[in-house]
Amino acid sequence: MDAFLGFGLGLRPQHYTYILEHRPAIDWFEAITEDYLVPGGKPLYYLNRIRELYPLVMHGVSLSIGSCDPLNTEYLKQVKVLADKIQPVWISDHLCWTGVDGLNMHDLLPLPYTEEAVKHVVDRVKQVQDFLGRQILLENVSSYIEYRDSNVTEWEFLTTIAEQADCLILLDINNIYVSAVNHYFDPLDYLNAIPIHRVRQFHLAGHKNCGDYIIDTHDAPIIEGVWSLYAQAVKRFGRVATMIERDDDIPEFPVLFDELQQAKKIAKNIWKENVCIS
Amino acid sequence: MSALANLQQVLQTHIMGEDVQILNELVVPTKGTIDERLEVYSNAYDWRLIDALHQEYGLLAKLIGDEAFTELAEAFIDTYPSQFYSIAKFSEPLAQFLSEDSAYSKQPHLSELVKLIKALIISLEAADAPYLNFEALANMAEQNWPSLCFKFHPSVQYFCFNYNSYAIWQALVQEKSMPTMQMLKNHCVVWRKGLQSYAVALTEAEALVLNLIQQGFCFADVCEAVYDKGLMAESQAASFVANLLATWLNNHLFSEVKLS
Repeated sequence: MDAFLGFGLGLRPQHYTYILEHRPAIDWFEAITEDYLVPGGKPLYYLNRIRELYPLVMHGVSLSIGSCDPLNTEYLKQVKVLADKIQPVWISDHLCWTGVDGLNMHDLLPLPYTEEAVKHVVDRVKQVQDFLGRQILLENVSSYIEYRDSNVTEWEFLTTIAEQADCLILLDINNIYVSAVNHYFDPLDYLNAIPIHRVRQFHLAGHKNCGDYIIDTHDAPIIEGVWSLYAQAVKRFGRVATMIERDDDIPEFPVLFDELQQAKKIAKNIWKENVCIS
Repeated sequence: MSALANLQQVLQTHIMGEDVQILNELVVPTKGTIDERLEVYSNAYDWRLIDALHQEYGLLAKLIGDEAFTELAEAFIDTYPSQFYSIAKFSEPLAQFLSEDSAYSKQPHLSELVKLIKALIISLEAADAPYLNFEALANMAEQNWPSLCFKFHPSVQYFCFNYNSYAIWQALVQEKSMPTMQMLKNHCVVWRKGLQSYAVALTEAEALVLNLIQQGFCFADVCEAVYDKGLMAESQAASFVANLLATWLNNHLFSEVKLS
């Protein structure tokens, strides 16, 4: 698995034609896995054509790794088929649960940070990795509630799972920012606790500030506070593949391209500062 | 039940709108209230599913109005909470819901319209297969024509409606004046050509041909059936079927031809 993939964007159907016509200077794209778990036709046509031009990673929202329902093997089989076809550089999903009792809330619901949850998730990540024949990346989610049962911090929970399951981490900088505001913790405590060697990717995104709390909406430009936190993340983790997620109010491709240049600029400035001449 | 399983069940039940005791499980936030925070999840649940339905069935919203559509969507979500890993599949039981729910079953064209809209989406994502071209047919010896069996492209779907749902759909798409809903047996076929899906109305005779081909009957059998059913004079049956097949072939409805 490549350690550094560069700077990417989320692949969205609104941009298919632009990408193929203009072939923008993007290092890679992140495809939403579920959008392409179809027999054929239009989505796979575009995915395959874009795959011919760019590296891709697969980012899922349906693994539900923390759910107490059994793992959905039918879903996993389809993920594997797609991965075999498009050969993504890596596959990621979220450290969350999406439903129980056979239902799906289609949301990324937080887990309690308990020993029971650690063991449950670690066992399932191992099963998934064995099935897919590769390490997966787990992403930290935004949350709006905290459980009384939790007896460690979110960053301890994520780290323990990554270490015990031997999986990698997709660190969503915006999600850390959102959860830090919502749960009143220092986001740097979070960043500084995550093991450097586990982090393969960063997510950046916009959110909605509701006053007492923030909602992770992916429908707006990245705010200054998240850029600052990203800079701190680059200082700690070095060269990590970075991408911007936009899922609503999706602007024209060049707007997101420009926003990505800002990420690149921040990262490059920090890398330069860190160059030592011995 | 484990503590984790219990917690997940309690939160899920709350998100789905049932008043259960989740508050004791949660930490009081530094700012605002637990209820506000929980509302983020319950609002997102409703909003996300309604939005997903609206994206697929915008034409239905156009027909009945946004307010009525939201009401319909909420009723559907309550009756058929998603059991699918993908939100795109969540709407699969919508046609069934509309045909069995007392509030909507009196408007049977709604269920048919939903089937048609969904078919257009499904055809866009149907399995890939080669398109049959005229060259492949030209290579067939003339004496073999009666034995030719055609295979439809995987995107092809046939519908027989009991109401004028196709005409209603067409009026919505073309933004023309809406026909009054009426009982009217009618047929249509949905398929994909290139990266676009299409729906076209079929006559009785065309629908018969399509059904016979789908069931594996060869050219001669199809011609005979069209005549036997009284849909065409014997002298016209073969040319009618041949012309229809040529039109369908030209429109990429076929993926294969072989001898029976």
